[in-house]
Amino acid sequence: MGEYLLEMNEISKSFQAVHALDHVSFKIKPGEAKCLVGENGCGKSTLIKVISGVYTPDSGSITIKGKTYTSLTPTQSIAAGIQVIYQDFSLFPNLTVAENIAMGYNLYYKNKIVNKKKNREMAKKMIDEIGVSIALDKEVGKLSVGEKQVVAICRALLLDAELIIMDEPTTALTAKEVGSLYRIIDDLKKKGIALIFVSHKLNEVFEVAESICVLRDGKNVIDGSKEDFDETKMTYYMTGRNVVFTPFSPGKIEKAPMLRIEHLNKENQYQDITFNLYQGEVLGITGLLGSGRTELAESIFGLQKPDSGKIFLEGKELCLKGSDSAVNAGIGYLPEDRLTQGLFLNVSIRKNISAGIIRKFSKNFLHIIDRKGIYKEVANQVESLKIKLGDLENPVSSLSGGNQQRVVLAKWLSIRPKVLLLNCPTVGVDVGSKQNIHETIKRLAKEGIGIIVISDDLMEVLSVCSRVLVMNKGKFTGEYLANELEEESLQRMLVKE
Amino acid sequence: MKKALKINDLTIRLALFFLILIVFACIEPAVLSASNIVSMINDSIFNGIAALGMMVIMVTGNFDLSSMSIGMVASFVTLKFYSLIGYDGDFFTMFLIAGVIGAFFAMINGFLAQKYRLSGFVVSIGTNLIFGSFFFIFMKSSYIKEALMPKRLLNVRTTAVFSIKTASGIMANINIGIVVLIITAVLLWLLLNKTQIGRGIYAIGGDAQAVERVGYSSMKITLLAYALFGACAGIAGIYFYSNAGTFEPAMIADKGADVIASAIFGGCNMQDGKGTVGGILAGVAIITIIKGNLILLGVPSYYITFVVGTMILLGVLFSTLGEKHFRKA
Repeated sequence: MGEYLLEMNEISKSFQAVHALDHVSFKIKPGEAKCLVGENGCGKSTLIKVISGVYTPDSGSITIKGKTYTSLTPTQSIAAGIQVIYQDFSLFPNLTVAENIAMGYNLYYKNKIVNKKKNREMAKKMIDEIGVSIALDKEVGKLSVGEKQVVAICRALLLDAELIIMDEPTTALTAKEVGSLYRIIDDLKKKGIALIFVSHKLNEVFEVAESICVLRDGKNVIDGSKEDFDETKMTYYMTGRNVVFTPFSPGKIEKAPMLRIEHLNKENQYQDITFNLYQGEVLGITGLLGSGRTELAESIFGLQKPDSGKIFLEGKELCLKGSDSAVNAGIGYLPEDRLTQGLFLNVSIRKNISAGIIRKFSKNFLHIIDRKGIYKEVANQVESLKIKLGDLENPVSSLSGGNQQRVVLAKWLSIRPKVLLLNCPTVGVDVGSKQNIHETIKRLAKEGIGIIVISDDLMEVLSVCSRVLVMNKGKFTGEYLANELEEESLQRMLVKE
Repeated sequence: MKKALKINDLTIRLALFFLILIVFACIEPAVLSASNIVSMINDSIFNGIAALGMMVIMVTGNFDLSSMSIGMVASFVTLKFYSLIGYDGDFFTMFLIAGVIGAFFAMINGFLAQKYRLSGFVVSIGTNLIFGSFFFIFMKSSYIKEALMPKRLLNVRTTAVFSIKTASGIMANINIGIVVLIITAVLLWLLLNKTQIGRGIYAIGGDAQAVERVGYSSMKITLLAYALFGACAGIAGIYFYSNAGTFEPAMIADKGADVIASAIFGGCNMQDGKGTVGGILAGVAIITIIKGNLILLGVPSYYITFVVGTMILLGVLFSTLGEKHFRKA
């Protein structure tokens, strides 16, 4: 038996003509935490599915604890101590915590009869081991996201997991929950359990992992210990090119404000918000989740009604009754959650982009839609935003995260907005697309659109914005020029009590 | 407000049941007479068995329109089978055969829905019509008169487990069917709560995709759920026709709405994998006292249909609004 818990040698897997994995090798030792990184579509999830037995590789071998397989079935994979915790946790919201934790165990050992007492005992032991307190009889649907993750980890541990694979484990967690996840991970490592993380977030990768494996286009790029990497190198390995985030220097800024917000208030959300947005600049509003940043953005877009205060656009006071009137006034809003709020996932790219301009292109006597005109407009947007797509008629869900985000942008740009509010524009987008979106934002600002970027990604705020407003607990606590700021001091301002 | 909503769901339903009963008793004291109570209990048997089956399907997050056709066709095949072998029937085999046949037909729905990833509801729109007509294509008549019914099945009408002497001196009999209802409820409760595959029925209603990932077979769970549903429909159907004394396909058709109303009022809403045997029995009790007593009070039948429709809507609102309040609390 070698020193590795899992060794994958020269694994290849193709789907039709596409090489999803091309002679990929991957090794992990007991007690090691390894990050598997790469851009969307690089083969990360295919590799995970080969390990968990969902896919059969075309060639290559898998060695677990000295035993070699050419492929695994899901049952073999579980028997070998491999557990995957999916991004959605795969829990049952209508069943109790105890039952959820015990379920995988009972099914694996083919227990036909439910033993509630034993379920509770097993679940309690696991939860105690992890050292958190969750009520065993609570329905999982009523737990917080962090608690659900703990339940999913407990379920994996109960099956004597020796290797736990976590797919984007921190995406939906609050900063505090991420902290306690790191603590749990440390404990697991001490017990000799190996962990594989699939992640997009570079700073997180450096925090948890000892070693990093980078995939690009289905091929191994590099596999080494954390010390051999830094952010610039990592970005290079992932994208295959040097990605430089340069700070934004605005062109000529007009004297008269384009958008003026005066004493905007909403109870329990934000208080006394006043600021100006000038043509040609990118204004950053940064604050933590729950600081009121999203509520403020939705109020400027007319989705939420403020209790008091005034909004002026080009000197004229706006009276916003719903998002409809904001769109008519020339305000666009890219929501935080593009999947549920910004896109019709199963509808074609063309229809998604043209969603905002149908009225503009049907302003004739019978309100007949000018299809050719729309098509031309859509094609223009796709070209100028460099959206990578196969066919305009494919559903948006066929695109990668970064391209989906550009589709939302294209939709807004086609209405020719005066002001564009972007709420966390690069969440869940890989590093290459991120830079692309940043460049687009800067270009749009130079073309004269007033842009507000709301984000808690400080790197993003500092590299894309020219002026930054800090929001803390519903209030603006400071205003800075981006080139005078550093990431650490900004971080301190965000969390200040 | 918060405190009130933390009351166990079943408690709310039982409280509602007694409240409705008291209101009726105040309007018409005869509601509480022995003969009326006995007749309420007898009325709830058919509805209870069928609603328990409906619950299983609704727990999995689906819905099936064909329960009454399944009950009808299972009864028809059972009756024809008896007359073919020239047997007069008995209580045990009649429920067994009708249950098995019902399960078989319902599993066709389940198989189609799971195999081809269709909505079970849509499948049942088609199969409802197919089940309701297929066998009669080969028959001269779909009607079976009393003289041709298996003789001993007809004893269902007169066999009592318990008799009470009413004020007017006539004996009021609680029908043997109540035993069938109780046995069905107990078996179903055991299966859903004490077996791992039974928990799978709840699990699939909670998250259909996660079910395979923890090691269940979705197909097995779906087929079991549909089999339970069909068995209940078959048992309810044969009870219904034996009690009626004659067989005519259309007789059972309009009973479907009460079954759905009972299941919904019993706490099923098809969205979150919820539904318990106790809850369903409470739902059946509520629907039965409302319907039965409105008849006793001489309310015209259109009003009653109107009330049942309103109850279905209220039941849905009641369970989903309740759930939303829970989330906020």
